[in-house]
Amino acid sequence: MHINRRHFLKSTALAAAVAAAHQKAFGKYENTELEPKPGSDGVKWDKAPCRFCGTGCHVRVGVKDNKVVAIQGEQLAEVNKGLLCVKGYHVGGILYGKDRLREPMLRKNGKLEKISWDEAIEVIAKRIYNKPEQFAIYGSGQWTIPEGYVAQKLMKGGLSNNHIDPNARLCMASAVTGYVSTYGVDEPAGCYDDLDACDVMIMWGNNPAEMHPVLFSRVIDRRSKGQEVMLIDIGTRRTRTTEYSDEYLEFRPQSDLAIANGIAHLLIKNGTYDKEFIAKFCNFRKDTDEPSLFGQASTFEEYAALLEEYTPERVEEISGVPAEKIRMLGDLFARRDIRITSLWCMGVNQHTRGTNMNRLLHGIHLLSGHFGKPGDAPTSLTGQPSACGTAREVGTLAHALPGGRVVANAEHRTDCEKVWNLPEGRIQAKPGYHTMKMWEQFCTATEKGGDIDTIWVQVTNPGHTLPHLKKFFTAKKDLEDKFLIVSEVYPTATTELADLVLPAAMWVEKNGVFGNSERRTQQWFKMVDPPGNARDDCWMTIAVAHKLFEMGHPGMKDKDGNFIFNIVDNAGTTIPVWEWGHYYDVNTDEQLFEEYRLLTFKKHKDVAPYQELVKACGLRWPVVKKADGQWHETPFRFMEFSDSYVEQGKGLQFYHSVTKDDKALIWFAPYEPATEEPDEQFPTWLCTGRVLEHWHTGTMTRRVPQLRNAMPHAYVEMNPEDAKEKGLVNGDIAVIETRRGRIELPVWLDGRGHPPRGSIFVPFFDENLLINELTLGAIDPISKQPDYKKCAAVVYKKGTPPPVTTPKG
Amino acid sequence: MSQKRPWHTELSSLVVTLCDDGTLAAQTVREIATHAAITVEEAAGNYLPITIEVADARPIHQWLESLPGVQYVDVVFCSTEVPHEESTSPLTS
Repeated sequence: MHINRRHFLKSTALAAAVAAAHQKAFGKYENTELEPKPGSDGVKWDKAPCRFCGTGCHVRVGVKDNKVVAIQGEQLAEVNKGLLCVKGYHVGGILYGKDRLREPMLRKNGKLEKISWDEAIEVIAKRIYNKPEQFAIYGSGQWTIPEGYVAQKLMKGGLSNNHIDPNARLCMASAVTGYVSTYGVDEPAGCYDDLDACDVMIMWGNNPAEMHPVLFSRVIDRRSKGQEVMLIDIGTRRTRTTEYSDEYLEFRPQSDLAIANGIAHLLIKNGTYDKEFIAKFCNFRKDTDEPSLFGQASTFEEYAALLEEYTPERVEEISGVPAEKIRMLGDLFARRDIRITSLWCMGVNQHTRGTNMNRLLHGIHLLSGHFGKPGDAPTSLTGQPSACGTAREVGTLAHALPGGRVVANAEHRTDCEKVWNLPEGRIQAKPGYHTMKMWEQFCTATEKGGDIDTIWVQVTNPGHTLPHLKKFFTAKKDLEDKFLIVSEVYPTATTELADLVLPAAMWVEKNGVFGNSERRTQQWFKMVDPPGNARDDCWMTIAVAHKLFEMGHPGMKDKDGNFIFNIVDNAGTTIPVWEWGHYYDVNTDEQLFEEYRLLTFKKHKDVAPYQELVKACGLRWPVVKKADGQWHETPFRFMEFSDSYVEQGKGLQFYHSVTKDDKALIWFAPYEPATEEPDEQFPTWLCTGRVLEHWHTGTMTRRVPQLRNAMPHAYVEMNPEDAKEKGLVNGDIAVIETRRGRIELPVWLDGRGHPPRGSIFVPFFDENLLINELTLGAIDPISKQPDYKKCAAVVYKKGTPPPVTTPKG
Repeated sequence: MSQKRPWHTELSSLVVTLCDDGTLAAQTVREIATHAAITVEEAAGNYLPITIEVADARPIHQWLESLPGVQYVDVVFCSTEVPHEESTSPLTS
């Protein structure tokens, strides 16, 4: 690095740290405005949300000579207040791995060979044109909102085909069904401000110290200011979060359902539930014989009777958590003088009863009245940067339409057909295949009923992340007539089986909009060019749609015979954005976003106008223009002091209530055993998850040398006593087997995580050690989300025979 | 396990949250300032801004966290200069 450049960058680095320190100490921002022009060091700074998790931290991206040269935390961002985690401050490095995909490639005679973009687009269009009903798109919570929106419109509005689903099915589908079945509408009422106001924070199967570190740091920082915040970690293994927690309650996998019921039982038995709150704001619900999204009506009396068996002692028997700790939780929820925030993420969602566990968490907050005030909130966190924005709000799930609509509702279909200017009846009423069904059908021979023959994967890596990979992904290898299209930035486990690979632009190589975990919509502009011939996913979708239009596919025309993606200049003249050379003649993202925005009002998910987002570090919807002429965001939904849509005098109003009476639903759901529990042959619980340094499948973070070197490969965390019994020490190679596969991994004892006896943990980031060859693939019956957190395994030292033991978990 | 190769960072800046004990905090600041790779700025309350240059930042970060006068360490800035080791595909590494 040149000395002058280093000097200037060092000044910037120090200024950023000083500003962050002042912000932390005095709550003031200093030296915060971005300069519109490059500084004397030639570095131009602009804002963007971080590319990684659902927290939605904002970064400042320093660009010089068409290259990202530095990253700093955005001091103006409410989410992260100038701070970043280890991944965030290396986010610029993800663009510069040596093996970036630069050219389209088609598999010919078993090998991927370079082809032109024209040929690639034609290949895709022909596959779709010939069998449109057998085509599917598998998308992502990493799609930008415009990317998801064009894919959604192409499929449901253009092809009359609902076989589109995002990878978010794997991470937050149960959160969606939990919110919808409780409040009648998706996404949290609260926001990150709750973390600043709570007296108690309960983390349910959640490790925010490593997975959402900036949010966790926000709470720890309150302690350093002398505030008292009680942290309770309810988990199946000790993690870095446990180290900071006042209480650690270790439960037997799957028994979190019993713990939540134990709390509700005590609130009722002790008469400490909030009678006034439930009288005004709640109804009761239980499931039907066959699990369903809205179940059937119940009563308080029936609810109380169903909870009768969940005494602290019975919950201890089921969960292993001492009865006195269940009473401690019951006593906390009984108090009116404290505020309680519950956080959860994959531990609750990746669960064969994930919907029920989500319902129960909402239920104990509602029953106790710990809802509707800052700091009193049940809040699920998301793992991807736009799982909320693109999967949930744009509605790229197989059953959904934009703005909280569903394909099964005729009025909702009509709304979309009107905005899209489509003939009535274009959108089909039957939901498409959800993720697991889509891949099962793709991996089943056509003659055996496998009726998906082409999948286009965008911005995700299912060859790595799907559970039970042999069944749901690699089985494709032997099916000659199946065709896999993958838009990607680097070679992955998915591109290895791809028939057509499309090189994609990523993050600040393109315009974008994300939506984070707290309903915050965040916009950024393209800052550098993508490498080689890599192009935007949004462009790819529009280009394929236009090729279909040229081929005469009737679905690519609106009611007036025009192309369904009509992007225009200021004079209203159509710009041929399907030609790459014209794609950036106008801001295509802005026009797509403004069209999408029209569909966000029905369910009061009003996103801000694009130009308002340009000025902000994200705005939380509903964003409403008030009498002062300004656009106002909504930190706390359903609460009169914050939400413009609550009627005056109501205080709290669940205005999309399932029961149409402004009340939320408190559900009863029983504890039920896991689908696959340890037994004599497979006596150990296997749990999988993430690590601090790598984001999901490591496609990006493993290209950053600092991150790759810090965590070079996967491992198995074991309990030292179990390891000793098996003759394993740190660094030994252990064999792990489940009913679905076998893998060899180095053992890590007393590392970051500390599993109890009878359980192991394996991170999933390593594409050379695919733990998802072993995971189960069992799904929640309502959300269709798979369980990655528990299945039965056997562990033994490499070179020794599998032991015959009895279960310990 | 996690540090087989160096965690090389050209330039990063951090905020160190110091403890409430003024004497211990001052002693900690002095100790941090002696580190050759660290430049220390004036603390704002309990928060000490620092930069780390051309160093294996990971062990330094962990060293900072281990100091008795340190409560927490946050990172706010990082250059993205490619370190000495070339970036390669993890598929082939």
